[in-house]
Amino acid sequence: MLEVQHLTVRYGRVDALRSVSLDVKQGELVAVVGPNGAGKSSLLNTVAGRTRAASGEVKFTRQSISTLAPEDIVRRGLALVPEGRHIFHTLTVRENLTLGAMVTNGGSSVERAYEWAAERFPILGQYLDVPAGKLSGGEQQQLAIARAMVGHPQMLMLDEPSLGLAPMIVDEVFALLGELHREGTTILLVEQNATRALALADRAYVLKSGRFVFEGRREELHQAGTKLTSAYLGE
Amino acid sequence: METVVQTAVNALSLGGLYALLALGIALIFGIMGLINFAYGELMMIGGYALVLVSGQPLPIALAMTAAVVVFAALLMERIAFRPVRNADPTTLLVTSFALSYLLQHVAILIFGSFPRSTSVGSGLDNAVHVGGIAVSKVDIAVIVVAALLISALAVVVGRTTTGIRMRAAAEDFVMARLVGVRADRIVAIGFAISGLLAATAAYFLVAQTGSVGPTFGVGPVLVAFIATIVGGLGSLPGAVVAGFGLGFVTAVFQQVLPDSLVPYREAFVFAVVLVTLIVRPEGLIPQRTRAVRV
Repeated sequence: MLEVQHLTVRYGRVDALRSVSLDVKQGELVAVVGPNGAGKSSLLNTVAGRTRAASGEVKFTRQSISTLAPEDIVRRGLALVPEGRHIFHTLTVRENLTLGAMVTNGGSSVERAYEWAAERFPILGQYLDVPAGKLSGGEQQQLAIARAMVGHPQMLMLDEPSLGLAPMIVDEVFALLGELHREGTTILLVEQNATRALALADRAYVLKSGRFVFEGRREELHQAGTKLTSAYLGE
Repeated sequence: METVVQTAVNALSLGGLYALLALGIALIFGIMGLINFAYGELMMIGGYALVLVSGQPLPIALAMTAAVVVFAALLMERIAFRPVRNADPTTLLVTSFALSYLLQHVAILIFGSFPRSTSVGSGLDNAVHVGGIAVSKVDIAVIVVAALLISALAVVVGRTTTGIRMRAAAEDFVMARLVGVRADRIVAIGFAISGLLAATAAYFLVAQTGSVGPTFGVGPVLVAFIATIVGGLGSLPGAVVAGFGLGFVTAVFQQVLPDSLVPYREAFVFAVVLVTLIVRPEGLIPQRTRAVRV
């Protein structure tokens, strides 16, 4: 579904990503783990169109999206939940969801979006008309995911969804991702919390200093095991 | 009694005009972080458009003027501001100054440096008598139109999906794009609305002064800018409140200052502005969050 081919991203003279290739198949949950500054966010930001690649190509459902604007990429069904959630604080929960639902256009989908979100996230249903900035961190993360999901994306990318959340809330967020995955959502998950991400993933990539140093199925990762984690994840 | 009513009408009329001016600046600043000083030249273009269409029936003259100014605003965005949209705020500011001077000098080339007079607003010249109190038609028209436009804008921004997109873009432009808000379109809508506000303001300014020169918009844009700052940059309710506040303070000083001090009215008005900003440096109604643009 998503193919990243030899992607290189530079900030000035610094290479954030060096010829990185990755693919995500339909229905898969793929995790990219690695230490701080490895280039994980650069990868997602480039795929989502926020950052331009110096070279390489990104294909989504077989078509190149490397030169598309962010709004056109999300309209094709590839949604990003960015690091730090970036919900719209001054807008109400309902308005945040409206924006997400409008990606696919059509008035009826907007109404159904509130219902869907309220059913899935009871807390959001309760706070529909509250400014989103008043929600707690965990609730904001739920809203960020809900906002992306109500647009019916074909694939969801999440950047550090556990960042800054209390451990109990992190459990909830990962449980939710597991559910979405079981229901068939294709997910690309970037996480610093490798243990949690790998427990969920079908396949994983380990990123370090802008390169993939490991790629494999979850079982293979477990076999590579402790050596890998200590070497690359610093745990 | 009569002076109280007169002062109130003056305050509302001046305030309404200032509020319209300030909204045009605040709207664009909210969406793309640009303080558009060339907004004054949109008014200037509107003023000259009114000169050129005078003689047409008023509704047609107004519609043509509005169309010309909105078109100029869209062109301004497309040619001058889109290429620097992601540059830092100082670049945007300097671009707007450059554009402002450029347009003033283009106006000198085309129309000469002397003001042109027009009678397009003369229908508003005389006064109507309400219960023995004379109220000028311009003042009534400004108050009514300002109230209508401000309410319409409040509905568009507060209740429509376009308004949600505009507010989302104002809070976090990058994230708005990531949820599918089309950047070019939302900025163009902002410029179109600001063009409409500039055209409206131009009409009332022409109706009051009867003439248009190349620097027609310089004074008003400064007032607009100050009202936006006092209101809290980027805040639309703030722009409206500060616009009316500025109008109110000006009208009251006009009335209460002894004759010898009336020529220094502006100094008193700006003293109030200074004090307001010392007390509330963030403005009257500051934006609750201002997302860092990445």
